[in-house]
Amino acid sequence: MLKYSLKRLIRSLLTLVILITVIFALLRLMPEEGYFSNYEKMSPQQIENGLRELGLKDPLYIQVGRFFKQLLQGDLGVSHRYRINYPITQIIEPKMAVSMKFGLICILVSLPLGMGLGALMARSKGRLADKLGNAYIVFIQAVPNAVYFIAIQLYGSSWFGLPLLYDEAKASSMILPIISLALPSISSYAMWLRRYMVDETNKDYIKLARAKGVPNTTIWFRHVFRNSVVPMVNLIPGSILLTISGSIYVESLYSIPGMGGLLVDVIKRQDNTMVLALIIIFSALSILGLLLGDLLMGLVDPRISFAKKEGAR
Amino acid sequence: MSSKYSPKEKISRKLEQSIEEHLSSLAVSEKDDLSQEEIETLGSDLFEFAEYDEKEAERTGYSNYSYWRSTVRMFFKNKVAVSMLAIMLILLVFTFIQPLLPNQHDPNEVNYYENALWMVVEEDGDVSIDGVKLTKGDLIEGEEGILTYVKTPKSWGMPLAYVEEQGGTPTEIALTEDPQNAGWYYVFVPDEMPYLYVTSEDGAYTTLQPAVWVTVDDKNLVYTQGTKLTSGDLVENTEANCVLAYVTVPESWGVPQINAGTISLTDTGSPLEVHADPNNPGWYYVFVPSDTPMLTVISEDGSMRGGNKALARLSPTEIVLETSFVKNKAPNSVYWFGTDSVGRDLWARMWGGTRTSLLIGLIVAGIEAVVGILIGLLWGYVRKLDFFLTELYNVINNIPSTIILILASYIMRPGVVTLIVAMSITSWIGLARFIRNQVLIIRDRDFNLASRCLGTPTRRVIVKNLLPHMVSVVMLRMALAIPGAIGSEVFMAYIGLGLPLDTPSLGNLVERGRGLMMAPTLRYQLIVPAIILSVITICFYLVGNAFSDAADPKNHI
Repeated sequence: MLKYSLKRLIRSLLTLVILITVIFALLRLMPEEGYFSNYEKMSPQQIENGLRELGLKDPLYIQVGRFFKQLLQGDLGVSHRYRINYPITQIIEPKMAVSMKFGLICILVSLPLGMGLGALMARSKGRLADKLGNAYIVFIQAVPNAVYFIAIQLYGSSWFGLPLLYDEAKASSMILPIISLALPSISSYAMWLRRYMVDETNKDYIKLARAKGVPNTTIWFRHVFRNSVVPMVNLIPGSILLTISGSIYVESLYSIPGMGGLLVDVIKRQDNTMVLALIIIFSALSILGLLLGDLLMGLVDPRISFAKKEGAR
Repeated sequence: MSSKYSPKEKISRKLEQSIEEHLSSLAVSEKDDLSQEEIETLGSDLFEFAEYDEKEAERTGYSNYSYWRSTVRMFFKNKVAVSMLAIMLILLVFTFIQPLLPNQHDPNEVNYYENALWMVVEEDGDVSIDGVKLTKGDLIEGEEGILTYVKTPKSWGMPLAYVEEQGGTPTEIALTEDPQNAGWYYVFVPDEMPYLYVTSEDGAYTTLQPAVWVTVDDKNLVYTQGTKLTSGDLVENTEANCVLAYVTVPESWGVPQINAGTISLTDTGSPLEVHADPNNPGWYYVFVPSDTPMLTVISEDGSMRGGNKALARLSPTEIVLETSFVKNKAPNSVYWFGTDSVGRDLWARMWGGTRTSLLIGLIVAGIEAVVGILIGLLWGYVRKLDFFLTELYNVINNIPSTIILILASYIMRPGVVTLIVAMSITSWIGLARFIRNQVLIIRDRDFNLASRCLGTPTRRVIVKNLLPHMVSVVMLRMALAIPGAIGSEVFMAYIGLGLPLDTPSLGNLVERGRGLMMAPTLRYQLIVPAIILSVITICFYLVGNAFSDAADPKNHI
């Protein structure tokens, strides 16, 4: 287990390093104006000097090396356009908290609801509840989320009089964003749990239990449900970590001052260093989420062993 | 039980025994195998090598099973999917033939109002006047004045037209029948007498209403119209030198108080007697003296006041040429889905956008399928590639696809090609990974071993033995890639990295519509593209799922 974890960790780190290097190199291809706040008014000489001062005229490998050195010290550089010469870490910190607040509430709401829906659908497979649930899942999966996010914002605010935009002082302004965030995650939790549970019910040990006369509820809760939840565990660390990066759509629709909305903002303003920093953070979080998910799986499910099989085969 | 065997069995055993004995006696008398020496003496011309025969090698008994026929039969059992497929095909065909149909606007053309007006009169005298061309053929040219086309109901007979100056006396003006358009008349309204009304041949109907209609809306703005807004007959005007005015106010106002004064700002006017209209709940009528025609509307408790004064003057409809582009026009007979805020035809943009989005979806799905299958097969068959591709997969799989999409479009110039490249730059690797796993699993199964022993070439093994097992998943991924690509396009349009604004696409339409969603009258600009978008994506999703179920050999009986 320890050996596997170490190997997995090193691999993740390696992926991250490759990724950062590639993104860094790619973003150097962007127009230079993304490094200055008043590019239009600058003379070519000033631009030249400015670029040299920022170290952008150095060979690429020196720049990458410098960037990694800064990164190890927890320094993501400064913003050039979003907030002029302001350290990016300080911009991001309060926004992370906001995004996490929304994300965690959303998980608290959607996990029980999604699990409940999935279990209900698996138990009534082929009947009305299953069909309705399936229709909901198909709708959420197929229709681009822009459509129903906008519909929720539009009709939620005009029919129920809920606030159109997020306001920190008003708790009711959190309802619509939370609903928008929860709808897709409920559907994905329900879809996976239903699939795992249906697979599990077809296994031989369940047939045996049924033949032995074990009560139906016991089979569902002691055997089917417990075994189907294990693969779901894989998803949970990732989804908790990804709450930090927030939802790009929902946050900018409701002007929530979070990380997702920030990415849209800095893209529109072409702030190169901020785009770089945010993309690195988002990818690092997702890599870390996958890593933790895999490790947690191993802890929860004793059947999974990471050591190489020895013996007969 | 008396005996171990039934009589019938006993007889059959006897028969069998006698046959066996007969055979073994034959075997003793006649040799049935050859000794080593005897084999060596046999001539080699008695034997020949079996050539590889494709037909014989692949022959699978006498079953009439055909993979594709079976797939199609399975698919047609799913009624929902079949109807979705029908909708999808109709949409697809219509999208691509729409520009070839007659009378279609160009999606990027800004439509201007014509240099003429069209007046359509309803049976009860309601009028709509607009600069949108409703007649066919070229406009009539010639005289001075504003060219106005008039259409009246048949029961009116040959209509009569009157023009007048502001506050002047009406003069009759001749209407001419339009030779190109049955039922239409045209008239040149002199510039100095820009007020036009039409009456029926016998004078029983007229577009000149002896009243005005005043509306106060939620935002306390006041509008005066000469168009009849109430139902039923008008109240008889009993007062001399007075104009009948109908007034409606928001419900929260209660019974309004109405003052009539002169145009002077300081003149608050004197209150009028307000009557409730028995035929039309919510409407009130007043008789306004002609010398104090400016109305001020105040709510019952005096707390609300109409934002501007309403002019109650008996005036027929004024004729004004509209010179700008056809902006935010609600759906009508010329612009079936209305126009957007810069006067472009939304019907044409809708289908143009659907075309762009579908094209992006199809190309992305196509690239994913071709590249994914090719690389996947190589990955499974060429062992040297395995390490490299597996590591690449591990890296790419760790990064959210949204981030790759954003990064790629941020670096390149916005455009259709950029979006396609950004979407397909990494999407193929998931499919390739799946194909590789399938290849590894199926490659060494018994039937492939048999094929290899019979000398089947690798190419044929891949095409005939491996691919049918993957059709199901490849189809599913392609069918999901299309709505996925359309959704990504919408997303990119939303965050500002989408297609340029002059390229119509569903994403651009939804995004433009979103900007206008707070104005209820313009909401159609969001709702129409959103509905088309949902229909397309749901159709593809369901059809793809149904087809992949049908194509899975495990489901074929």
